[in-house]
Amino acid sequence: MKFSSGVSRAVFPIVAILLAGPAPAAMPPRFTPQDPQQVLAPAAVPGDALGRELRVRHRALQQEPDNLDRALAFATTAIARGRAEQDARHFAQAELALARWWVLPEPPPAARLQRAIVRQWQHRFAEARADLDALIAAGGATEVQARLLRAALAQLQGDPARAAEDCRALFGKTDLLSAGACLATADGLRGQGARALASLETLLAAAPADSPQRRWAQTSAAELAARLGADHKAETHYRAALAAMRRDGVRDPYLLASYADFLLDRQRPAEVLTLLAGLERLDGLLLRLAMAADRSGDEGRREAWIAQLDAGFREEIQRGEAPHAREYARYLLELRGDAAAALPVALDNWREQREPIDARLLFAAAQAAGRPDAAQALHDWLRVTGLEDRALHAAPDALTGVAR
Amino acid sequence: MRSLLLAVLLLMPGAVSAHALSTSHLELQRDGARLQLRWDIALRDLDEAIGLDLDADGQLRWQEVREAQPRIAAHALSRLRIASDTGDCVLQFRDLAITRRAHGAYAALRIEAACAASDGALSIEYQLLFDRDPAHRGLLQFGTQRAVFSRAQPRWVTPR
Repeated sequence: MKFSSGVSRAVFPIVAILLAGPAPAAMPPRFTPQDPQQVLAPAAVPGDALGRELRVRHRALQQEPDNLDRALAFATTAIARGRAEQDARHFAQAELALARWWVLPEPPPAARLQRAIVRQWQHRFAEARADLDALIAAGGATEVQARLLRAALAQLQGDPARAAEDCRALFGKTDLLSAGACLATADGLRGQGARALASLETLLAAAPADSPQRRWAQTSAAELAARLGADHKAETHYRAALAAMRRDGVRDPYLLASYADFLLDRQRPAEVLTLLAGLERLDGLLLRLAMAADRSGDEGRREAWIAQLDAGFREEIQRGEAPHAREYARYLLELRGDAAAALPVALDNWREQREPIDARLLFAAAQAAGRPDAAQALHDWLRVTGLEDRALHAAPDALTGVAR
Repeated sequence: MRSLLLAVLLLMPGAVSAHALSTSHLELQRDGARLQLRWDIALRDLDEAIGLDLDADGQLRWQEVREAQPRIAAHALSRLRIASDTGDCVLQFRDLAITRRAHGAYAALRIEAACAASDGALSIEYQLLFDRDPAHRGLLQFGTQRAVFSRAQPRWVTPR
């Protein structure tokens, strides 16, 4: 995947860090399985309902590659699969299916919306935002989705006030839970945590039990409660979100990673090993598994998972790309214990992503590296947004001058 | 519309995360007058390209891979060209086993190349999977030299 020029500059310090390490690994050993029935890997298309839908929609598209409705149907399914597997290949399939509309100066709105989703996933944030701006300016059927996405992007980049503007514009245009949870999530990031959590809980109590937005709204409530130090509430919301995930019959790596972080923060690594069992192939979850093995003294799995993470980061660097800074900085800090290497990566990450998890990462890396000054930008940002987060305020050498 | 909205909501902050990219690995070694190539290709990628999951159960089993060996070899050889100063080298598939890498199980192919002149510069052209995944890369190791094959740069010539 190509990174925007702004991101690729970040590659060089990272490359230097890894190249200073041990020599590149030799090719891993080959083996011949004994059991013909041994399962080696998941297939490109899963055997479940989503997989069947992918096959059907792909066949339909192959018969008529110029049919926009068919291309959109296939791309939407491919993107859902890519998210569940955290696998960029599915996003590439969506891109190929829609390529003939994406080259137009003004792609049809529905195709443009999919492009924004793919670009955001690829961390090509400026391009994603340009598409969303155009869709919102044009109004019409895609405006609601575009506003939700643009709110998400603003939150990701540490601007909850801007996110809240898009959320407010959604009232009356979509269901109450979507608009309300969007706004409460944004407000919960800017010094209005208690009120936002109460609002989320009211919205959830009033929403239909089978609302497809419940999983996301529960996750948002759980994260907000955890930041406010309301652990019991957070636990309740996480469990409700997981129940909704099972009901929806999908895997939500974001929710799983979020709950795993909650458990790790509270010294409950054994539960992380259970929660994420068998999901090592998803990089973001592999990181949490390795941390859980580390915290629970499981040396064997700790070593194996660190080696797997290491091989993945090396592969990305050999491809000429920067590993995702959020995961890479955390790996260097928490699993390699190399704060000096983690700090520049955490700073690179902070330029691109500014969610509470990124703030904590930068704070921890700066502290561990003995460079609290390096987190000055973080202090300024906390003052502007008013983010409340127990993990930041209750830490040793807690941040000062921050709204509580 | 409802399911599309759901898809959008789940892309709320943080869902942007690390993810697997399609990558193959090649290691080329001189062996007297010949070249020995080890080529690791993700089973998932082979499944995408030529279909390995014949019972469509969503799992790739050793039997399915073993029985697809001739098709895997033919596909791989059709996507790689190695040439010396005096013309194309003749590529011959030797065998296939399995290996494990960061993102799962790979077919580990051994291929032998017979070139008219094996000590001069080599030109390598790689065309695996680019038609299906523009982000696919092939990572080559040849002694101390390294190359990255991409859709934009599918050819590499060894420095003399």
